[in-house]
Amino acid sequence: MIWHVARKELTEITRDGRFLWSAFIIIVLLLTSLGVAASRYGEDRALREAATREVRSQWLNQGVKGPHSAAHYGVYAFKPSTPLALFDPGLNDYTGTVTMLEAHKENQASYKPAQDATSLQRFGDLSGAMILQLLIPLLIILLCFGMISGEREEGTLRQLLSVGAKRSDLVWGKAVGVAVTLGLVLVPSVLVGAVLSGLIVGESDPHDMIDFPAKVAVLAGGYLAYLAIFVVVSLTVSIMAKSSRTALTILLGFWILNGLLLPRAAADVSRQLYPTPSALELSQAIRVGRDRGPHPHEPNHPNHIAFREKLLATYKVERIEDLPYGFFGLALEADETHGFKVFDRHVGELNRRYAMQNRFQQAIGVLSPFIAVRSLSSALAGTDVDFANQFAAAGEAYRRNLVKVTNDDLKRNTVGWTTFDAEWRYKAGDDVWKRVPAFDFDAPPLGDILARNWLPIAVLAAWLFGGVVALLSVSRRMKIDV
Amino acid sequence: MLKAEALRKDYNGHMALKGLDLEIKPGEIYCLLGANGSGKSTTINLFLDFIKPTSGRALVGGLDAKQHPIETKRLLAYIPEIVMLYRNLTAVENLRYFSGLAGHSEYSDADLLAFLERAGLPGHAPHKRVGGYSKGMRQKVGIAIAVAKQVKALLLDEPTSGLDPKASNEFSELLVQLSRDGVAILMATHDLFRAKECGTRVGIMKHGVLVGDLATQDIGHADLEALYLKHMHD
Repeated sequence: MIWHVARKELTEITRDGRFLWSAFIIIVLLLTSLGVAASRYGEDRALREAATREVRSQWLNQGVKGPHSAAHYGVYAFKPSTPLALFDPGLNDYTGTVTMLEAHKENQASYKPAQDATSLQRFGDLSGAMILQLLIPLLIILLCFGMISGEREEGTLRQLLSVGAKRSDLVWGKAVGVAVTLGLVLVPSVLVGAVLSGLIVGESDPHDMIDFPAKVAVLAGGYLAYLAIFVVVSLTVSIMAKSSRTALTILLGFWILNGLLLPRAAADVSRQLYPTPSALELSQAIRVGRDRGPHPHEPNHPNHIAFREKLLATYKVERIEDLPYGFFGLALEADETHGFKVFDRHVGELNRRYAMQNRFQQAIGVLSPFIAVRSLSSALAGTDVDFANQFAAAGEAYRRNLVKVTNDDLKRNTVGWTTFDAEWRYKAGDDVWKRVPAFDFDAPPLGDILARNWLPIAVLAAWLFGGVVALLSVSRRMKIDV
Repeated sequence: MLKAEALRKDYNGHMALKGLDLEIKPGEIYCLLGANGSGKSTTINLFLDFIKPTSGRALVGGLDAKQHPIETKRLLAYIPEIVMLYRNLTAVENLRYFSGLAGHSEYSDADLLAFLERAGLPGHAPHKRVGGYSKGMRQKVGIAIAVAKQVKALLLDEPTSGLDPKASNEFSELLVQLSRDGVAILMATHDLFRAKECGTRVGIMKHGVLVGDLATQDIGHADLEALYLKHMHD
């Protein structure tokens, strides 16, 4: 009986020119956005891989030079990107994808297209994810808003019930009809889009493909649940509303609240609740903190002198040349150790605040399935805040090891050298550079993503469950006449 | 086949139906006359279980419509003032949909066409979308739905109002044919002439009470009109 109803809905929907046009437009948008994103992803990946090789080879082949100069010269780390990022660019435009790793400084990731854009950028590029998160729900609303209220207004509902149709069969038949219609539109275009993107992107590095099929499966499940929520909510409203017009108004209100107002409000409120310092304030705070360090490059700075005196006293020697380790190496090491604390405090606090903002926004997702599916989707695509923070943490850990290797070399090999000689005359070679491994950081496996995103998954499940229960309960009490 | 037992319906203090007793046997065409708001549609809606009685019972084939909403609907068909159909579907598709919901998914296209033909739908019409149908054609599709359902009882709510005399006449003939096949028919109508022509019995309702109940063969057309007006003036 449900199939019988579903088939009739399918026939009716597909005969409606408005539906055919909107479906056509959405298919074209989806394929275009995936195609464009795939070619951009392919180019970016080629650049990233070439740059990664280049950076490594420059580091290894920098020849004979002072190790601390090498540390200043530094390396670049590139945030890995799975092919899912072409479907959901997430926050990449805001978090940046390239970090310079060098002595003395913990840099924030750069290359953020959002920096050069107006606040309209917040509405984002038209990505595949955006189409599934905002446009398809709109299509669902337009398909469903009059499904019951319209039949009630037309009088066909009375006719249907008079032949002995069960209310629940009608409602679920309609839900299945919409699902099949959308499936006929979406499944082929998503498959074509995936194959097209696959062809454009070509074969990916296995490091970018960790748990790829499983991530795709969870992503598909998440979006299925999200779209199903819109079907059951739309039908519920269509049953309860006094007229089709009211139903449409309510549902459009829900769409705007869900996809535009709540996400925007959540972002703004979270920034009010957990304010973050500006880039200028952050760099000033760090400079003030770092200024208390031993200033290894300035032998006449009071901090430098104090550090030297304390060191000479500790080792009970008169001259720095008599110390068991190279003084310049020790000074740099002490400066870095001091710097790590400063960075841990200020950058750590910044990241904690970002994480709090993110948690707050996820919590608002209880009211907005859009926020929930956006969190889950960008997490699976490796374009979320958590992964950006992991990337930053991995880069910082790499940087700390790099300065440790170069400073250790100075400590060991400039015993008895003056500071000037250690800084300007001492040279290290390939063996030191080889001691710093290549930056190796991958997108997270599925397990980590799921563990971090239980809240959005629970929110989607709860909305779907609540929607089904609401639909069941209102369909039993469905009014027959206007 | 259709039986009302002390049937009452109370809408927030307004008594729409004040204890109706009525029985319509197979083959009978019972025409309910009365002004708007006299309780005719309420009676039909109670048989359809679209509204619940305040007290009393509406029985279809011996089953209480309130207790057995699905089973009683298997036995009856309903034709309102305008049969509402899906405008983007053809007559055949509409008929297949309604028959399928009524539990008859076994009909072939040929069967469905035969039902529509029997209901008098012109030969070119069944494969056209019903959006362009006249009211008379819609009513015929309604009859086809009833025939395809193989019903035992038919409930009609002013089915001929607004039909031209020829279409109205064709419709009445279809009702007479159905009653010969043993269908019990309850028709609410304002059309005294049609009631006298095709009805076997006539009931006159006023303020929720059945004030007159007589066999049409016992009364002439003019007398029926006089009787009706007399009741309305009281």
